[in-house]
Amino acid sequence: MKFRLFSSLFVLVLLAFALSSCASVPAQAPAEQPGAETTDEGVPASVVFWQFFTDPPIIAAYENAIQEFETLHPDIDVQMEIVPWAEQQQKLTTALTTGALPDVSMLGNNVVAQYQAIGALESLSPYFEQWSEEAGEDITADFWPGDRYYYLLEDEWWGSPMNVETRALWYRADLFAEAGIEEPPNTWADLRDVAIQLTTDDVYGIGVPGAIDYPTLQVFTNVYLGYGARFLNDDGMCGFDTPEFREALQYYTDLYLVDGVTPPDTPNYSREQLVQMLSEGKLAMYIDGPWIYGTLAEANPEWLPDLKVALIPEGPAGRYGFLGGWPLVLWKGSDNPDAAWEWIKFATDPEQGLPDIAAPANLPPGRQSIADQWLEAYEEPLRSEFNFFLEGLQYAQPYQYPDPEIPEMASLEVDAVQTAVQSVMLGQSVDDAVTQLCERINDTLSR
Amino acid sequence: MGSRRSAAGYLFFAPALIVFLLVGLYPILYQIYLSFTDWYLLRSLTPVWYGLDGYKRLLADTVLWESFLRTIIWTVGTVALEFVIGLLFALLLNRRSRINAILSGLILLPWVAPSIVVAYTWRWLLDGQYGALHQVLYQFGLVGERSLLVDPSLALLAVTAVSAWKGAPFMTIALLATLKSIPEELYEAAAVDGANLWNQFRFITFPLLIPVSVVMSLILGVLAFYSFDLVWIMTKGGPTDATLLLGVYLFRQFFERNELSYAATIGVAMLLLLLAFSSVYLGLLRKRQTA
Repeated sequence: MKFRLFSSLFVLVLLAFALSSCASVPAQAPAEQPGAETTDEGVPASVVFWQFFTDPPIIAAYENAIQEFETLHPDIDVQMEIVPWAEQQQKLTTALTTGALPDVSMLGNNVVAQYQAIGALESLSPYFEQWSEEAGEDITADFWPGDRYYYLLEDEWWGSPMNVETRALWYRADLFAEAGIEEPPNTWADLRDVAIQLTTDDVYGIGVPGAIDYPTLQVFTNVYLGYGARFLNDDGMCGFDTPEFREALQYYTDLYLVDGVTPPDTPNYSREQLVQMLSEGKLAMYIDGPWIYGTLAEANPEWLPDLKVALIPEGPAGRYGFLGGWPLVLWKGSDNPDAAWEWIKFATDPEQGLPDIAAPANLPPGRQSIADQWLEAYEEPLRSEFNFFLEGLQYAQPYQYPDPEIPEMASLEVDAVQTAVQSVMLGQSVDDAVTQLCERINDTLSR
Repeated sequence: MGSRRSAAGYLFFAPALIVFLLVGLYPILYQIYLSFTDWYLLRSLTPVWYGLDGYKRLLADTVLWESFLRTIIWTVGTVALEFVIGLLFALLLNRRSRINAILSGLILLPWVAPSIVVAYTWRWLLDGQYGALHQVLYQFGLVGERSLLVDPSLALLAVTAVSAWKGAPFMTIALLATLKSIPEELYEAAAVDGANLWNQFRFITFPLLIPVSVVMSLILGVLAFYSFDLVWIMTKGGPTDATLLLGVYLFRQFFERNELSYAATIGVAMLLLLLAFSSVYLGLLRKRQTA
């Protein structure tokens, strides 16, 4: 009996040891030299590509592009797999730890630094240099100014821009006219005054997000950058413990706490609820990207022709917008890096796949040279309104501007800043919120 | 002959054992291994041996302990409400009628509905702008303009009530099955002895419901303790950490902060806590039954 118990325990321990040993095998294969192909001759090189959109028009655009690409490159087989945006972070984390990464994927611009820092991405610099040589010009000069902070890390490029996006101020011209307001607000101070004037029993002057969700930081970034606040100080630690940031946080939260110009559930509201309120005519102003027009057009409210767009207001330190977007990246460990690069090049080339792939997302393409082409696809008066988004891209910067993206940003942006905004909206003092925020940021940066 | 039969038995048993080892035991062993490592995905693609430091960090993590306390309140609150609601419905449905036969089926709906549906439904019902339930509560002056889910002092209560609403049917069905198995003669004898309805419930029904209630409470308690989806969809752990349960905290550590090993350490601690609690709980039950 004792022997049986002992042998069972022994087998169990052995099993645990074996499994643990298996787990400690590096998740990634060693990096291959650029240019090395491992595919047998005659067999198309397979490129697994993770695409994050589920909208049928975008999927169709990619399918068409892949078909076109494979006609040009019969030796490459691109296999597109749909990984919804909402799940991509979990899927990538899981794939990283199990070694099941694709060859190429889209990637939120905010996480490129994170994956670059741990050596999971292949540098695109050698490929960009070759591309520039072929084109006879520096292709990276065509990228939007703010994208350099996301993709140029340690003097090398890690992503090829696909789409960019920034926010603008959507406003109801009919409500402005009723209130006798002639122009959209040009400064944050003006916006506050206008929002107070526009707030009635039925309509809130503006809807700002306060939930622990990306839109909160994406809208608040416009404010704190405009007030001259910086995410990081000169020592690379939390830069928010400044009068500029306190003023910005006070301003943003006072819209809810003091002025009451944003809905009562603002601390729990994100894009989903605010767009619904806008579509039902309950908001006079709202800050978001161009994609919401589709939802509003579908709802088709009678005031839709009166819906206008204006630039993000400027603060004491100038006009700044949030810069979003995504590139295509090449994952290290790809069996066919050159084939994978050919697909990235085709898909992000303004003269090949990029115009058709980027357009259905209703967002500007990642290259400035075809921005006008993107705009011309829209009819007036939408074209004139959407031009504000292109203009806004000149002011659009990442959260941590003027510093390059840091690996920890994705983790900090999720709950640190958003928690501070929500906490103040729910009664915490600005000073306490800033102290906690910086503790959290510094704690993560020191890890 | 006997050893052959025994070998055949093991052979038949082997597939189930292999599946259990792969999908049951392996993740647990791997999680335990990870809990002794440091795997911060912003620094390394592989785990590095860390010894007991992860557990020391866990002991010093005040947010974790606050989450733990909140999870205890949530678990006890959920189970207590599930028992009260379940008992009331079970007693109601124990009467024979056509309506009860239909209701017995309908009452299972919250239990079988996916958590994501339940969470979104309740989030909208309690929404300050659109929520029908919020409007009713507002008309009676029970809430202000903003939703219960935005109020840090009430959000945990609100999500606990929703959790109990979802789990109560399971308790109801278990209690109803027990009620139907109680011999009618017991109540007849008690009535002859002059026991009124309250005393019949107190001295016959309730004591006979205790064993199944204990087991059901343990099952529902374990489910509540590990809960993640309902709270994540309704509040994401907010507002201001007011509904940050251990499951949500673990998720954040893993997927948002890339602290893979620390998430594993929290998971192991949760497992050990539940093992210890279940052992004591069932031990006490056994002792009570043999006494």
